[in-house]
Amino acid sequence: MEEKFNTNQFLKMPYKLLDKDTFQWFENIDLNATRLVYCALQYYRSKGSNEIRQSQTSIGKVIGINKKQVLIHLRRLEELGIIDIKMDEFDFYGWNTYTILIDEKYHAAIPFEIAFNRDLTASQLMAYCNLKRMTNLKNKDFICYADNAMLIKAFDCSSKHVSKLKNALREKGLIDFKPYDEKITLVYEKNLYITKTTINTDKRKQHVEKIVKAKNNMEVKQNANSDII
Amino acid sequence: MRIQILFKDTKNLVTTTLKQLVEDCGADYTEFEVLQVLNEMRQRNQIQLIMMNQSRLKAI
Repeated sequence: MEEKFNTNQFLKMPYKLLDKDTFQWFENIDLNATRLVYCALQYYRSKGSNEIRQSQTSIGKVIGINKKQVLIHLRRLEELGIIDIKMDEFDFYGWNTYTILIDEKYHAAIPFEIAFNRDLTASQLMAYCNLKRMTNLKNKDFICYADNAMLIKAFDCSSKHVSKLKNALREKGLIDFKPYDEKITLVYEKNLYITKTTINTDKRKQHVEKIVKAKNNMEVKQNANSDII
Repeated sequence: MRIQILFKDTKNLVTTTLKQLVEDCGADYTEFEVLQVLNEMRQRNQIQLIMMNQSRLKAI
């Protein structure tokens, strides 16, 4: 990973955007590239806000495509009613305002480290999003059970491509699975979650210990609620 | 629950409540977390814990 992201930053990938039905009017085009541009938009999104103000060049830089390509995909997203674009022709820096219109109630939360990893291609990232969608969020075990037929339907590609995507994700250390097994573990994210929770619990424990030790250092007058014998 | 904490280094004996400790820690802390830390400190031989029941308090 080139850039270091905050582990609390997550990208919201709406399930609606992952569904093929959303793009039913667009056939024979690379849908994953359009989805990737949507992800790039999220890079500049501030927490809790639906509006993003950024230039096309900066959006393109996040995923490594040029300004013109970005505009094509943004227009496609606008036509589908996923975003709203307000072009500002007089802006010195070429910044435009984008408003997210799609329903984000149900979404796959992807860590920024994975979402903006330059090593991942658009189809690999979308495959990962689909796998995340299949995991049980309540258990937080980061395991999804999906056979080949399910994956073909979810990724919308051939059986050969599914195994290619799976192998590519395994090579990059994001997932792990055994051959002829339906169980797929999202290893990278699982480790990320475990380290994050252990760091948090350690910090909390240290804080409680500090409070308890403070009782020892207090003078009798200061410690009004407790009695020091 | 009232507890007595004997600090082994200074030999101070502090009587306090679990509720008080939780309040001192902050809003989102639970009694379980505090007890866990106290138990760990006891295992490290830093403190000695004496739990006091209500009935025993009356006797004192």
